[in-house]
Amino acid sequence: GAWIYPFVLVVQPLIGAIAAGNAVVVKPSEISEHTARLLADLLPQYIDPELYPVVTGGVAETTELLTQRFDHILYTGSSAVGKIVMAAAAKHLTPVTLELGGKSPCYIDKDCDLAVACRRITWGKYMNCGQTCIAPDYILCDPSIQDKVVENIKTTLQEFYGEDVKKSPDYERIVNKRHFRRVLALLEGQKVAHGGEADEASCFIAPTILTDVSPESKVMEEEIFGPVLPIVTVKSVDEAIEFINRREKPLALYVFSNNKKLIKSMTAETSSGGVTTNAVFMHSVIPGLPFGGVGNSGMGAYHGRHSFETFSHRRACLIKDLKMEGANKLRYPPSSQKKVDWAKFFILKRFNKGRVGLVILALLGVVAAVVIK
Amino acid sequence: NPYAGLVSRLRAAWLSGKTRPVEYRVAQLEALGRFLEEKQQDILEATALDMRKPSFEAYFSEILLCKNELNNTLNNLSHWMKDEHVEKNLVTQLDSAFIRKDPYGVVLIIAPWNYPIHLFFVPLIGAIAAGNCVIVKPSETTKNIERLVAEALPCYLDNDCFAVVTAGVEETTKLLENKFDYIFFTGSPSVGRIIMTAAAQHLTPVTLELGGKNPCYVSDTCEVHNVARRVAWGRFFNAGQTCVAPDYVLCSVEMQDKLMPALREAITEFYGPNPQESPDFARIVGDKQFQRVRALLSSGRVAIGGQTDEQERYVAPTVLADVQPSDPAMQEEIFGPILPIVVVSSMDEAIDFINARPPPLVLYVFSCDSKVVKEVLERTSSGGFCGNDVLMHVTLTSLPFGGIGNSGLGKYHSRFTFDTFTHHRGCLHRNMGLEAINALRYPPYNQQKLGLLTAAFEIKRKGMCTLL
Repeated sequence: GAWIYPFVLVVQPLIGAIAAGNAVVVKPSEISEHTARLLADLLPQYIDPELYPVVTGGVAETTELLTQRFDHILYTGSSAVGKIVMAAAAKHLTPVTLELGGKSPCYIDKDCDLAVACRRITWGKYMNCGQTCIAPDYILCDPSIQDKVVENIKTTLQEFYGEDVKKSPDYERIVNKRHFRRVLALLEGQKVAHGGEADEASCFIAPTILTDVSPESKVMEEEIFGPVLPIVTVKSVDEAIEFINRREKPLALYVFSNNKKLIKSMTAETSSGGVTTNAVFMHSVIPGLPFGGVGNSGMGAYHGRHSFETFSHRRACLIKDLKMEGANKLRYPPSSQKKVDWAKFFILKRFNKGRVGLVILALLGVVAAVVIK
Repeated sequence: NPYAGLVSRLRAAWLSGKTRPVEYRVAQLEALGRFLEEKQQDILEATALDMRKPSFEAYFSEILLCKNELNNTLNNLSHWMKDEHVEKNLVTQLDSAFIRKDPYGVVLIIAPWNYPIHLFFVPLIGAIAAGNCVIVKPSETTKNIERLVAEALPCYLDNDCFAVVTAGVEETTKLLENKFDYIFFTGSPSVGRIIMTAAAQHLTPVTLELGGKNPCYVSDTCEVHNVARRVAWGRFFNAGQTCVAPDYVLCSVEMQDKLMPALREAITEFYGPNPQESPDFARIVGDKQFQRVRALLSSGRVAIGGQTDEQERYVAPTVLADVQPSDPAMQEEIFGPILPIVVVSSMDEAIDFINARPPPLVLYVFSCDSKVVKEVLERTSSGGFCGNDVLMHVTLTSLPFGGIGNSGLGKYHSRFTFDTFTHHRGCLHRNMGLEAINALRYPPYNQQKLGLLTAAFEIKRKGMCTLL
């Protein structure tokens, strides 16, 4: 599990693993220690601890755990640790599902309802204080609308959290001091258009917007995982696509536009784990859609039926009869050209299904007519 | 890195979008079809030179099955490429939710020597069909095929997007240092581990088609002659060098006594009194492999065959009786024309024997009693399963082919190959309207909003009713 959504990121995969008939070792994140302790206490009271034990611990314990042979490993976390998990799994040829992260780009088209777009983006960006793997990490937009974007986000922030964000019961904090310092450091040398206030004692960082951000700056290097929203200006859709493609494939791609063609080309010319247009997050709550990354943002997927599939082995079975050996003679040595020709006839699908289907239909029609009569 | 230039050239071609349109993919696949047609004779000759593959076997596995996959793919490609629309919940009713089939990018296919055309060709079909750029690395062990593929294939495929690399162990290690977007490997579990470890450095997803010892349980209630013929055919095809060959037989001591003459009869039927003279029996691919296989003969007792000829790398179709689990033939995948029989006293003992070992690529059960077949199937694990025959599950394009645990990871054949090389991308297209409904989930939060949101989002368990 991961600390950002510590309960669901353990329980949702667990549901799929149990449904598929496996025994499961659960290892919640040690960073969200209260949830970890709760899971360790509660789960054994509801499900058989012999089959579904909970293991708590940090890096050392996890490394030790990974030396054991598992039949599948699902890991949610950072790409750096994802590589370590996969390398450990390789020793046992254990298949893995890695739900990692990256910088999910959010492109805002000039031609769209900015008020609505910015409200939806604000909700997604600052929920959980920005600590969401599919949060819109940064904005790409034309320089002419940058100021309007900032204004709209400011208005929405006011609507959501009131005058004094620190006092709002609906605004979270950064999970710990280490991440607090990491996120704060990303603000160095940036143009802060809004926010920027911080308080180490409570790990509070105000909802922050940065403008005219340079693609080479630190805040554009790693996944932010905090309430800091950089805006990078691009002069065209093509420039935006090129920008996205020059970087690692993200977990999610967001596009805000009324132009269907633009949405289509942006989706087609980029790669990402998933896509939501004109909203954020929502592709992750549709059970029919597989949720996962690609490239650096992960491999494999789950949610809904895809969880069951992830934890299942599709075993191909063919059951034949021990009789009818005559038909097999075709494939046995000694060989002959005649046998080759017969084999070709049976194995190569030469029949046009359509025509055969029509013939069968005609025959059925005749049979039906006879029966009815 | 000697291959960095090649990989980045292919990546640039992929980013240009060249491989995406269905017309392009179809054109490349049709070119592959022409390769198979026009080079057919050369392929048969090369496999004959490399391992004395009988032309019947070569035609069946290297040409026929590949054509089948190709035609099946061409017939269904536009259907497979379509966006798959999915069920939506209450809140997303007016939206468009679907799974998009995206290519991964630049993929690497590494093939082994035992079916040197088939085992790169079939994955290649799926990789091209899915819209990727591909580097193919044929096996360096089958030199004639390697040369044929390296020289001829580039004449048929677009060299901007597809390349063949010839490489030994050292060069392949260098090749693997590059970042690929997918790696498809067929070979041994030990090399599979190396491939996956290299892939982990770049978080590259992999499909590993490996191997293992495929058990073949023969129950006491069965038609002995048919069993013997089918098992012998599967074991001695390609001189035993088949990843899905029945590796060893488990049966009772009475069945062993009945099987032996039946197997002897089948072998004579197939290859004549002196198999070394039969044009239908292959040879071991190389000296190293020959030494390895020959060493396995000191297991149990040689009941049929056992003759070898080092010059020709000939190992006779051999059946070993009363083999012990500690014997050399039971320590590794045989990959040769040797069939050990291990005696077990019951089906339960057979199942325990199988489960005590790593799950195999395929499990075979022969019985006239369908209950026996069913029970073995339910109490064991394997990549695939075939009751009352061998190898045939591999020829069905509707079945996924792959291993589990030590025998592999991932699956392919036909649509499953296309899916292997495709990133299934979840997409949701919403529109800008109906913003008022979204207000339910925005701060400031309150209990009322949560209640309404829950009602809108909830999935209830079927058959449960709540009394208000």
